Amino acid sequence: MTAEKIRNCRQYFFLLVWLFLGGAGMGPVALADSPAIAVIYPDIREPYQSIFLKIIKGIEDKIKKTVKLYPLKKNYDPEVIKYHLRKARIQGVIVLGSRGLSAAKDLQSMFHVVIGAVLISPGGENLTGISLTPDPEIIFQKLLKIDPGIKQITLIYNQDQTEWLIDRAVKAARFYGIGINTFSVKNIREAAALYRDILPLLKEGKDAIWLPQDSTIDEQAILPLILQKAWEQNLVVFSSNLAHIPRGALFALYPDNERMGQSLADLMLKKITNGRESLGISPLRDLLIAVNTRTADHLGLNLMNRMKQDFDLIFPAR
Amino acid sequence: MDDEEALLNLYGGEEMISLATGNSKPISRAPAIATVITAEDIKEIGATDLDQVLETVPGLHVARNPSGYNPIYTFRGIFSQFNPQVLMLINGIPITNLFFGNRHQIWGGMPVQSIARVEVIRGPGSAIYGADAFAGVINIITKTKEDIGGTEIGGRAGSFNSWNGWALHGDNWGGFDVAVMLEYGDTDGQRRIINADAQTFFDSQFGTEASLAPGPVNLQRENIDARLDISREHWRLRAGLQRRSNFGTGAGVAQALDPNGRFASNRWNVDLTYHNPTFFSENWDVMAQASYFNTSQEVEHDVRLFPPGADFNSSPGIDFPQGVIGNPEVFERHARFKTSAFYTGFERHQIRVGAGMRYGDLYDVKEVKNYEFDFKTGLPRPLGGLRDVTGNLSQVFLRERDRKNYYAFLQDVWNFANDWEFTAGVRYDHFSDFGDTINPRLALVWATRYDLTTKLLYGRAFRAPSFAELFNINNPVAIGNPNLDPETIETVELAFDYRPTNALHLALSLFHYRWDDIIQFVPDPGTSVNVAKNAGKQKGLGLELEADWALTSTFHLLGNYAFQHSTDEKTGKNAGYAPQHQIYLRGSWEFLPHWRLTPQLNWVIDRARPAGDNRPAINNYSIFDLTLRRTAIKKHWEAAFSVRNLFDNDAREPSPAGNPSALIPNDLPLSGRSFFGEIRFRF
Repeated sequence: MTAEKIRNCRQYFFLLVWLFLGGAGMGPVALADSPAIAVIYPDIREPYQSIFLKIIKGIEDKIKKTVKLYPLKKNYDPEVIKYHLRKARIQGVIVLGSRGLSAAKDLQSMFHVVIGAVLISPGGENLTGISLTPDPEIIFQKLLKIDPGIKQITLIYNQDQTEWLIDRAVKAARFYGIGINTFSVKNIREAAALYRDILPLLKEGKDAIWLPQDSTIDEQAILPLILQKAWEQNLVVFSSNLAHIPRGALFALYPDNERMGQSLADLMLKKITNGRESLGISPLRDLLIAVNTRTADHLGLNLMNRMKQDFDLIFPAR
Repeated sequence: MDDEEALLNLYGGEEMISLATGNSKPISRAPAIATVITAEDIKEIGATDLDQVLETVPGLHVARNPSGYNPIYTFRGIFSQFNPQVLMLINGIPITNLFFGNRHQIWGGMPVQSIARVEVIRGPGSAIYGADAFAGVINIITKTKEDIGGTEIGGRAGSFNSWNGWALHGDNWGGFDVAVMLEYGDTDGQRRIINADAQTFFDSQFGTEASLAPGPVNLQRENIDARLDISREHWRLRAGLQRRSNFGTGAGVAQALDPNGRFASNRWNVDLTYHNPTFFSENWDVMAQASYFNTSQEVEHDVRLFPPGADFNSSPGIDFPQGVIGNPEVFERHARFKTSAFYTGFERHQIRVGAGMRYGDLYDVKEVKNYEFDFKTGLPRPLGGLRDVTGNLSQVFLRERDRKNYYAFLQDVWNFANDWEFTAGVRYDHFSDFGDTINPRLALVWATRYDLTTKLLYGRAFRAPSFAELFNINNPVAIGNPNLDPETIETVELAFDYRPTNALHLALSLFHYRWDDIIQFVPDPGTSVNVAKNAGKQKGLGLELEADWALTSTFHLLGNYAFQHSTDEKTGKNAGYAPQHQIYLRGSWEFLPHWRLTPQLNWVIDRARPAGDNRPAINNYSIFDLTLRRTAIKKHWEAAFSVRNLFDNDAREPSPAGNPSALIPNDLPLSGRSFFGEIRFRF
């Protein structure tokens, strides 16, 4: 059966349900009310493209119909996009990735715009969307599930890149009743010196180190230093970079692209209902988790048997 | 920051993106010395056949048997002409046969488009896999719907009049995940020259001029490979057909050139697998599988052991004006059932338990021939024309027999301290024809540092005697012996796995093995025939060093060095045939976006002659290949060009030793320089 046929059958089925229910309670996603949505995303190569295709799948699952797709070449003309969107009588535009970001700001005057799959700090600009940065609240919740003994988190971060996250992190830590020590640095050298001073002071079973997604983590020098010291002192290291997990960090959260797509679609439907007002940029809450069971075993956490169902990626694979 | 950069920051690498988007899966690292080669690697090196893939594995060298140029997968110096010491599996199910215990005498290669990955375990694996997981295990995993993700059509043309075409399709059909794979190949094969063959020797003895040497090897063949994979929830149904036809005899089935003989083979398989990772509860991961495998050796065109004009002075005039014709055909079927479970309900133990049975039936032996052996001289004499001797036990080459095998295994992975893991496994096998065998495996894995893992492994394995070794009849050179014991091997390995940075991975393994009760055809005292006996002993030691280094984001270097020294304990001499040193190097360079250039070098060094073979040592060789690939042409197209053995080096694999001298004295020549071009379309 082709995708088209499946879609037709599905629409037919929804129509039946809708008629049966008399159209009641179907809310804004009911077929007849589905708004015309377009998705603008960068036209890039694999494996990056798969990320956007998964997000789009999530959007379509939620909207319950296909959306108009506009893959953007590197040097696209925003006016051409605008023309096509208007011609297609699009109501809402979901802009994925940074390539379309400047156009998105421009499109806001004509369409409902939601942005996603972009590393952007929450707040600030008058935008609606979801950042690629994981919500600290979810990170800490997972941390405590994996190691309930943790009392304190240490975060060394780049002032320019990660400052915006700190407030939210402090609030989330307070919510879970754990302490957080944050240190802002200007460059790698400062970060390295700080790690050297701080790591020996941290305590096994109580302290955890959070590796942010910024330039303080140098793959060649700082990361091996942290992982080696943490291994020797039995410290928990969690990261915002998935590639640190096979290296030896305990866990990382990474985007659940399909669910992120659904959330973006939800946001769009909400925006259409609420009017032109900006709903702000929220951190990413649709997350999957990767763990390193070798590190977990070293720390004596014994995760495999206790909560293996909860993990989406396991290193080293068994 | 552009999108690629932002996503790279988040995921840390393209490989991680593929893992995170579910387009690939993390590769499992069993506590054995394993190498995994993915479909990506296969494309990178421009391999068109499984053997080219396996040659890149450290400690594994692919040698050749004169008959059909069948591959001899030589792990760590463990060499034998029919190579039953290697277990080959497709999706975990053995495709080795009862007749010779190998992949088949009519193997005919294996194309690679349907292969998702190849997992190679060096060293014994009988505690899990049972019989024949002896010198090494090669498990070929075929593609699923996810691996294909759409439709791919491709074609390739190259030297030796070689043509290949394939079509792969993976999609969801009515709630079922479906993968369909079709591959076709046709080639004349390389035609390097054999200067002198077995008939050259007989010509010198009997004053004839029958030999076709000097003459080319005959490696033409036609392949059809078809696979189907259907799955839904816990169930998976797979079926496959490997059809080989127009299969040439290589350097001849009796080491005498035969340009006209043709074999064919049909191998087809089907399996139904149930896998539930949370069967009773989340602590039980249960698998059950029923499978069936049918394999044949058929003759398409009369096969000549010796060419027309061969004469052994056994009758007046020319004995064989038509040549010595022997058309042996063998048909086998195998039914298997197995079930296994992982239990993870204990705090520090992971238990694996399993049991199964296998019924193997060599159900049909056919033979048409025009000779019989004179048991006094060991030479053929005319039978008075071409006769069908099927069912005639005084003439046919092999008895029809079957074999039943029941087994059970238990393995515990015990995480007895934070950085220590101890694996203990044992498997019991009962065979209907030669009795019982118990094989243990022990592995101690120590997470030494955050970037270093140390492993100490011990394993014992067995090889069940093949039906040729047990039930061969009417061939004075190789008479079967129903009283054989299985061959055994014991191996100790020490391995280090070191990942100092994200970009560099180093692995070193040191091994020692003792191979006992080696089955050999040896002279039977008081007669002039050779009978299969547990006669040989061999020991060996060596190491493998591997490095995988991503120098920059666009350049990747991979290499390995393998050393082995094996001694035949009967003679105290080097066991011979296998290379003592082997060096493999590969660079992979994405010099422009979507353009990749992959040079590779394989250097085979120091292959001694076995005791009693007085020929000078065979020359070392190095083969350099170059593959250029362009992806994403107009989004859907991909093209590649490859040159193999760029410098046209004369590479040879050792021919078998002989008494008084080797029948093919100048060894078996491999292909010279060759080319192919390839194009793929994906949608």
